[in-house]
Amino acid sequence: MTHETAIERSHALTQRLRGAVDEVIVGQEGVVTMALAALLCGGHLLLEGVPGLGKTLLVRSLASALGLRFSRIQFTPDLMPADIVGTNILSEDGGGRRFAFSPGPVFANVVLADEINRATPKTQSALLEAMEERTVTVGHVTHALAAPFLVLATQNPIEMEGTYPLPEAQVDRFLFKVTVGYPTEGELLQIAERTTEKTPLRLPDAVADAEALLAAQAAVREIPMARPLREHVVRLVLATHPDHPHATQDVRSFVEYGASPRAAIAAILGAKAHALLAGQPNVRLLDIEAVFRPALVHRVVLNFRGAAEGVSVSSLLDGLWKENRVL
Amino acid sequence: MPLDPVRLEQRILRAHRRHLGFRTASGALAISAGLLLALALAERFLGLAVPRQLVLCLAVLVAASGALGFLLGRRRRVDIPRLLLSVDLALGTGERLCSWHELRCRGGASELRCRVEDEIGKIEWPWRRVVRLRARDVLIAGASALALALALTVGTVGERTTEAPSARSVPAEETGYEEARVEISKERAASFTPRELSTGVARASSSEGELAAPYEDALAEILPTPPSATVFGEPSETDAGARSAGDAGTGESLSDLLSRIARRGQENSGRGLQLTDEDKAALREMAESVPDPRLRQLLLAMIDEQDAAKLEDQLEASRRLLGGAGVAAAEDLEEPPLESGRGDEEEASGSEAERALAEGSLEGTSSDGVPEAPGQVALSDAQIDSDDLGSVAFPPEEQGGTASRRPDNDPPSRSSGAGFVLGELLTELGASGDLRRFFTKGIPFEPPADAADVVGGPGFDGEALRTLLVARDLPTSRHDVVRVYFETITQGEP
Repeated sequence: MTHETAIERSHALTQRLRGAVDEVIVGQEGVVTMALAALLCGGHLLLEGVPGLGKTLLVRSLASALGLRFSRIQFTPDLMPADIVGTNILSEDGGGRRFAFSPGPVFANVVLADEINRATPKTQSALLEAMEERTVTVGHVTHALAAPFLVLATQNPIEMEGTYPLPEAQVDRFLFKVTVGYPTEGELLQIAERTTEKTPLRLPDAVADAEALLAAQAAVREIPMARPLREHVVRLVLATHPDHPHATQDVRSFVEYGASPRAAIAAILGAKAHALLAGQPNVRLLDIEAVFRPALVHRVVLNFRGAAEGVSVSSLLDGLWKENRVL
Repeated sequence: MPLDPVRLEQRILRAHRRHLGFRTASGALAISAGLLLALALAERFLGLAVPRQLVLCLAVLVAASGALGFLLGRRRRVDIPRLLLSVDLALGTGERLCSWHELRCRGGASELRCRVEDEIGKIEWPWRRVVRLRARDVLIAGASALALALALTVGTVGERTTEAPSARSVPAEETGYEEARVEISKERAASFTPRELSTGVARASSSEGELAAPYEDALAEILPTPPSATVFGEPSETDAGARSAGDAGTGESLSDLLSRIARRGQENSGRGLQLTDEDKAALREMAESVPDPRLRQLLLAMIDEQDAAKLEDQLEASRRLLGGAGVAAAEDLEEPPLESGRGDEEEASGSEAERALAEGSLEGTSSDGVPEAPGQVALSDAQIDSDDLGSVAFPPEEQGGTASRRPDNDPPSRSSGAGFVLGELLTELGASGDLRRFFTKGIPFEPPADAADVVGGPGFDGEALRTLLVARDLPTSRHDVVRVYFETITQGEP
């Protein structure tokens, strides 16, 4: 299989997936694109938005289209870590009794962590190892997760009551964070028609499999990205740090912590995936621009002044992008 | 025909290197032209005296910096991926070129690279937009060109304005002085007879009365004789005897008087030569009028002499002094170039008086310490320098008072007292010596500091001259003219 074929097949796969999702989801092209990009990168996606915007439906549709094993975890304040990763239970087998591991819902290819910020930080942290190491340790036994493994989490805006902000370490493990916005009037009308007609909403059929998805993930890494573009990404990430010479004045004023190195990885890999989704044989500047904000927005921590003044990290990143040119 | 990305990259690289050379050359030109402009402005407005050599060096530096900048700029390190990315961004190629370069650097021929090359082949390449000069570079180049043009303009205008005011600021008499010099030179070239030469000079001097006045005034201080009769060559009689006796009329009268006395002595051979009171009165009168002290002393000695034999000797010496030098001077006029004529002259001036005349013009005293007749050296055409106003030998007593009589036992080859004449120089300064033409009556000559050991050329003491001119209240603006005059005739020797 040549690179060209892999890229073309990967691109075709993403096209099929997009078509399948579009059968269910109206609008939200950016969100779908970033979800597919995260899928191609093998990363996790954090969807943020108020309830009722179709976040869960998007994830379910995507999982259905991929034909992968899907599980859903509804995060609530009383959810325990064992409810996610599983636990050892005492079972009788033949002549005796012994503890046997009962896998939790995290043992799936696509995990929907719905309203993840409603659980306590302790429970939220139960996903840390699974998201980063692709393993789960219960007792003294470490269990590997199946590949591909993708966590698609949704959360309500943190300003809402009854939510627990995700720990920084937890947030940093999401490749992208995408804000789901309200649909437009036309989109909303279409949503209303689809859901109120006689034909009930049906999840899409599987259009891919794990093997095809893994191949696509490998193809993404082959996409060339010129050294000056990589340097530009790194410079941008470093510029989110208040003490960096390339930092903007807003960053110096409102940012407490800049983006971690994972941000650069996410941006570069996401740009490659974005290029593949666009059917391009190489990364372009606009690919970087498309993934720059989703890759960094959840990794920049505002200081007290920024939080008090209601500064948006997205606007800071937009300013950073404009002020730091590639050449 | 598909576009070959490799050749495309090379072409872009060549164009970029040209631009780098242009940029560097522009920068170097801007710096050097700015320096040149600053220098020109400083020279023009601040009155900074900039040596021509420095200006020339800077001009060469400007040209060299441009060329060197271009060459060095072309050799500057080029970040090819960034260069290709800039081309990509300028043309909106979707960053194909730099990505292709990335794939090429990875090595191997992948189908992904072929795909990128295909995409590159589809792109139109408007070369004017591929590698463009930045506006900043164009500005720098324009600024450097402007600075260069300004420097040239300021320099040219500066030269004009500095030349024009200098021409205007030169006093009329100085300008006239220069004109007189030119005229004199022309006259000399046309007529090299010393009499005519001195007449021409005198005419020039008289036509520039005011011009000559300060110099004559200054020289009058230097010389005991009137400067107009020395420097400007008025007494340049071909007859040395006449010069010894003052003007031509005095010479003739003295000659007649001496002849009469001699005839009477021959007629009264029995009693020996005796001077009458009339003779003594006439001789005393003549002694007062002759400028030559040796002749004057001879005449005064004759008046007081009682011994007939000694009186005859003194009479003969006076007549020889009066008439013999004229023969030597006439021979000088006829002799060819000085170098070849020196030996001839020594032969020609066989008489003691003539020899005394020739040596006395240089050394001032004869070997026995007896005052000798002043020498008068006439110049041949070949010896006349266009810048010389007159080359007149003079007695050492009159050399600005610097020469003194040499003691009798002193070897004649060394300098005499505070005198400037060195023995070695004598051969050069003889009646036909090469350096004779540098001598002009009235110049405040000074010997070199190491005159005792080194044979130096003739020169003049600038400090003495300045002191003299100040003492004579000569306007300061005219000092330089006098100094230049002496420098000219001494060939700038100290």
